[in-house]
Amino acid sequence: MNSGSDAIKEDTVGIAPSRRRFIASALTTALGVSIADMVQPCGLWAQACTNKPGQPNCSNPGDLFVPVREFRSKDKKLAVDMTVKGTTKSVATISGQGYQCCPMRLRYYEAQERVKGGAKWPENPALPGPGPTLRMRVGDTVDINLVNSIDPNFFGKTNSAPNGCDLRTNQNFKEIYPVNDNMPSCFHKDNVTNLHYHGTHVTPDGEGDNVMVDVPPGKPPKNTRRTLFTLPLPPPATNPDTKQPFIMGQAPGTHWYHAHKHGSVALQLLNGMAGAFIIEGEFDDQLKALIPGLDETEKVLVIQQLGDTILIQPGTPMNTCAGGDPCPLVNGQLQPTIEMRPGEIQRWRFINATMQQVSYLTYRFLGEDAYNASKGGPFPSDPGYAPVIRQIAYDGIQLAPERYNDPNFGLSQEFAIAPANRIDLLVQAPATAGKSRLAFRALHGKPPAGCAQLTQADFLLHLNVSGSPVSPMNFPTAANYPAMPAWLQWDENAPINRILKNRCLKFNNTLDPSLRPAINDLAYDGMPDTTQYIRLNTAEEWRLENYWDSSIHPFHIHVNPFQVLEIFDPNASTQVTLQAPYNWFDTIAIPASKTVGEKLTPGYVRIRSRFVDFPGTFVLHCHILDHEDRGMMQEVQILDPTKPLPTLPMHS
Amino acid sequence: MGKPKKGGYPPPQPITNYIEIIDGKINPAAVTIAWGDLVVWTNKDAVSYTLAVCTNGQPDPKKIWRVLAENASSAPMEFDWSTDMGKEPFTYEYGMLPPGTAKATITAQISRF
Repeated sequence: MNSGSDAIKEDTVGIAPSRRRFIASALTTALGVSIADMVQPCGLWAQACTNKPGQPNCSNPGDLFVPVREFRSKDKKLAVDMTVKGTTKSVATISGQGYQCCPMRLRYYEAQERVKGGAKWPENPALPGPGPTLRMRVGDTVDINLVNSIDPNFFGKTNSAPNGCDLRTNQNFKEIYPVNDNMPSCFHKDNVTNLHYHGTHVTPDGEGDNVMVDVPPGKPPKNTRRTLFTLPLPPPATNPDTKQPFIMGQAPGTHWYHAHKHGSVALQLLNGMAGAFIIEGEFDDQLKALIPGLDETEKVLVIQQLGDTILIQPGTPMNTCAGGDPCPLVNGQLQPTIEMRPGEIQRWRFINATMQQVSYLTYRFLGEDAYNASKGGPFPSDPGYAPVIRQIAYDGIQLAPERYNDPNFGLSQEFAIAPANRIDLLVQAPATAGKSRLAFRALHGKPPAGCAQLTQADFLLHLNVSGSPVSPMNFPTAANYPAMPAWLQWDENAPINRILKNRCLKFNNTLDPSLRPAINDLAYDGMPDTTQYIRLNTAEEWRLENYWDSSIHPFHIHVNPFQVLEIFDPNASTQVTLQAPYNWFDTIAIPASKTVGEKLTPGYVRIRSRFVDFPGTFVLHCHILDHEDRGMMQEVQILDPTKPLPTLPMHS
Repeated sequence: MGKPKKGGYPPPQPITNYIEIIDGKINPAAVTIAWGDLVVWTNKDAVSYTLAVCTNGQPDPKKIWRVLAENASSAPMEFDWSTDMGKEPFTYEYGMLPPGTAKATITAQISRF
């Protein structure tokens, strides 16, 4: 480069007339200072953040709740093109120094229904939030084309070498990351993606719920991946893969989809790459018969924490979390307002699409007075003006009538949602007009070093009840609440339910110098030592132990849900006794351990599951996704003893 | 020294700031960020650049921050605050090593607003 020609260019630019330059020049003359003097004291903010609500594209506390656009299956098929892109979005939060709304470069889903005149989402890419809500029914075919159109140069370079871990240093030349983390269990390949259909009971191989594939940015066909599967009907419908009847059906309920590329899951979910995946079935038909009009007012609430940076706290062990622990948003909105009429019952579907432990929260509606009086403290025994809730499902699987009528579950006015959990509620507004908030409290204890508590904001949304009362609406009773279908009952005498094997998984740290999040001392390496081999169509009982004092570990396993038999929390003064019929989950928070002196008592959960219908390879992992990316994951291979062992790709 | 008080600590949610290099110039040449933020330089030119911290006003070849390939972004650089930094804003001068000539500043401060 010729510095002389540069100087000429500078001069040429310097004499170009512009209003700003004219004003600056006039001020310089009048005040006797240089432009540099004027600029330097305040500087130019690299990103135009604002701390004043009301700016374009920034969510404002109290704004009216805006539902996410729904794409519904037509003629028993859901056909959608999902394109992953990067753009600048305005993200509002209450964190650290209060309200802020900053432009951030985020990855997101641009979706289009693949039918004539099909809808698109998002309408405004500058607004953050989830992908479209996809809604279908059991028995429908899901046909989704995932296209990775990320421009890698739009984001920072992510690794120092091909197939290497992300690299981050600070201004003093100190290496912040990867230090002792290494492939494949480290943050890496931020722009590679895939899709997981969380909560589905479909084949994990081929075009099914296959998270073992990488979809890199680039050009077709390399950057494209098609998903094509049919959601099982309730047994005894036939499994088209095996020509045998299904043992389990697809639970109709609130499920979700999200990116699942090992090494970049946390960042991509922090960017917002998730959405609701609503499957309807007989349970919904029964509810609608009990409460006419329920589907017209239903709310889908995707809870996210959005940001562009994984916070890395150097040390041994190294802690990671979402940068600044941003406030939970609802569909990308900060503390929106939902409106109801007096006496009205609505169905609210909550999806915790966050990626870290500080969002393990317990929620309760509080009237304005009760909220203000209890701020920061325990929930008051009297919530004041507040709606009544009835929980009807966990993780998209309906509660049994006994649990619907259980003070610990369906009847409780508090509900907890760990990362990846879903909760379905019936919410009945009080009979008179008024205002309340859905407040939350931390369940997770002290967060890891460097990760902040969510103390700057302690409620998720406003509820405003106004207008004329509705005609009387009533919750289902224990007597008329939908019965569990036979395939969701666990007949202790049925041969399929005989426990063939017991396993114990210890959620701990590696023994190597990285001290990474691990299962049974090992970070996921794609090898047999981090793989569970299970025989198809058998039942097993597992004990899941947590050896971290500082964090829960939400255990999630793909393809097959499980029943939770026991939860032991060493930090709790009393333990909840669970009893049959046990609730079904696909994600369960394993309580943190407790250390007194030299003695560590792990928290634990006992579960049982049937690994049925689909042989193949999938994963189990902690759903605090920075833990997963760094190694707290294992492969699961479901083997059909009548067939040869498959050769399968591992995560890169 | 202790932690900065209200309006300072805890810090705002960190974000990644993007600084472009076009036609051999760093744009913007003077930026302010919050401690904890990250910076990515995006090289829009078809030549490679080396960015180094200045010593005595000149980019120091012994203090290289980033080597930027042509038409590529840098890895993120984190700006960490430590107790010995004090509460006042701190300005880093940096620039390109030859054949590049551009110079710029990054000022880091505790409060975003």
